[in-house]
Amino acid sequence: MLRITNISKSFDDKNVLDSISGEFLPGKVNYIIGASGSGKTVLLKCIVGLLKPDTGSVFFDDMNLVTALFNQRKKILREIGMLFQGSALFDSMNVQENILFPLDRFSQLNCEKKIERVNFCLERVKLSGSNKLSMSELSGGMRKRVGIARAIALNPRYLFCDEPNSGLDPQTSIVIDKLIKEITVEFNMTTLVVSHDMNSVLETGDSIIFIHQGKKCWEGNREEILHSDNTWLNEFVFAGPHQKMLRDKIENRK
Amino acid sequence: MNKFKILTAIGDYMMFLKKLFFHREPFSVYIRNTAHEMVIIGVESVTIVFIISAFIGAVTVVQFAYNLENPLIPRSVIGLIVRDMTILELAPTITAIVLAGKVGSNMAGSLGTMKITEQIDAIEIMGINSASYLVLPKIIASAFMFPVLVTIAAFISITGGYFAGTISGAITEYDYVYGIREYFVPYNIFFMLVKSFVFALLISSICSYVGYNTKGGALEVGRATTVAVTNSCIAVLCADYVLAQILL
Ligand SMILES: Nc1ncnc2c1ncn2[C@@H]1O[C@H](COP(=O)(O)OP(=O)(O)O)[C@@H](O)[C@H]1O
Ligand SMILES: [Mg+2]
Repeated sequence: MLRITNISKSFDDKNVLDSISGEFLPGKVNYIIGASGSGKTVLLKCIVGLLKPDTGSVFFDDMNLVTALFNQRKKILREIGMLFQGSALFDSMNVQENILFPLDRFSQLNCEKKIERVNFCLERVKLSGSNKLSMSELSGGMRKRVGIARAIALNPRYLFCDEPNSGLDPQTSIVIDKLIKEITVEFNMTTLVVSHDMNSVLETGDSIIFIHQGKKCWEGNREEILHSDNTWLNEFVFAGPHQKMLRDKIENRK
Repeated sequence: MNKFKILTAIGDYMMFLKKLFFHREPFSVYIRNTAHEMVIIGVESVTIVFIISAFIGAVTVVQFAYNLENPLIPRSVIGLIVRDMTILELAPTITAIVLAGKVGSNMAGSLGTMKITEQIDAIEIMGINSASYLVLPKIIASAFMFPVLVTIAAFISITGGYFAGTISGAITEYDYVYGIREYFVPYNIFFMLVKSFVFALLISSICSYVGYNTKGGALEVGRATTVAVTNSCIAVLCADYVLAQILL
């Protein structure tokens, strides 16, 4: 289980996050949503320890990552897989080498077993056979999938995704969302997805936290999100005229 | 704040260097990466070092021959001057400046790109000390390869001088070879190697530091590369002077 308490973060004089708390359960896809620039990426980086929050704690089970010493920290990080917004694949390596990278560092498997694991991960993201492709040969959707394959290479208990379907067409987005959902359930991972894509949220969001200007503004599941009376949330969810029409329909049916 | 900017940067640089040595990765990881960097830094720079030093040697000979019209001074002095200038100054310093432009900009650019595309974060999140993992091999490889390249440069430069001098008829073969063997001080070779070693440390660490701390987008990577090369060239020339004061 993953629990965060009172996370605040500011850069110079700019307050980006203001006392955010939450709890994320295993086997569920947990969403953090909010407009661009609301601090989602910063929150995610605070949670995984890439940024140090000014206040607050991040508990992986009972271990606080913020105050953990180097070796404890290393142990926690071994259990984390992360998909970055731009995929962050190593462009000096091909697909197989990218996925081998964490395996080479941290697994005790022999060479054959590692390749087996690579092939398993690639198959899991439906990319079997593309081991030798270089980064320039991959499309955006493929890059995300290789990113997911690398993130799950070491069988992590926690999976973090930063805008997994930004820059993808709607169809590919759905494929990626479903993939994340399946993997989460299959390996009982605690998955935390940062997104501003309402389609994904409504499709796969088991629990949702809405951030507005660095504050947690709303929390619930995907049933509740359509019927909330939170002004900020409604403005975010029903942003365009089509969505507003949709809402009126929902309200009328009630 | 602005007044202390340089001090802050130097302090930051020191902290960066410290980070390279604490919580290191296992030794075996560095060996492979260092070998890889040696190829990039050393082997792939031989051609440019070769061309530049051959011409510098040639130009030095031709220009000194032109200035040495006095019949009282033996022509063999040209060989002596080329040798000492090459070993003491031209080979280490010019090679370092050229390598700052070729190797240093590559370091800053590739680290900067890795930074802004979150590849460094991806390494960091695996619990790897990314600074140490990426930068230390570059510094070690430079420290090994720069002295090698500078030695090659000195040899080629003196050879280039030989050909330019004899072909143009400015100096006979006998005089040139006599000149480069006259009053030879082996300590100068040691001085050359020390210089190239120090330049290697400066260029690789400064360029890596600047690249590793890039923030923003593609524009900033370009800017970081420029800053890295300018600053390491300045550092090289300062160190050149300081080393000459201390060691000569
Ligand atoms: N390293 C940083 N230094 C200063 N400001 C930052 C930094 N990282 C993010 N910010 C600021 O924090 C705010 C939130 O950014 P971010 O978390 O990336 O937004 P998003 O929700 O779109 O992911 C932005 O206004 C951004 O300018
Ligand atoms: Mg973001």
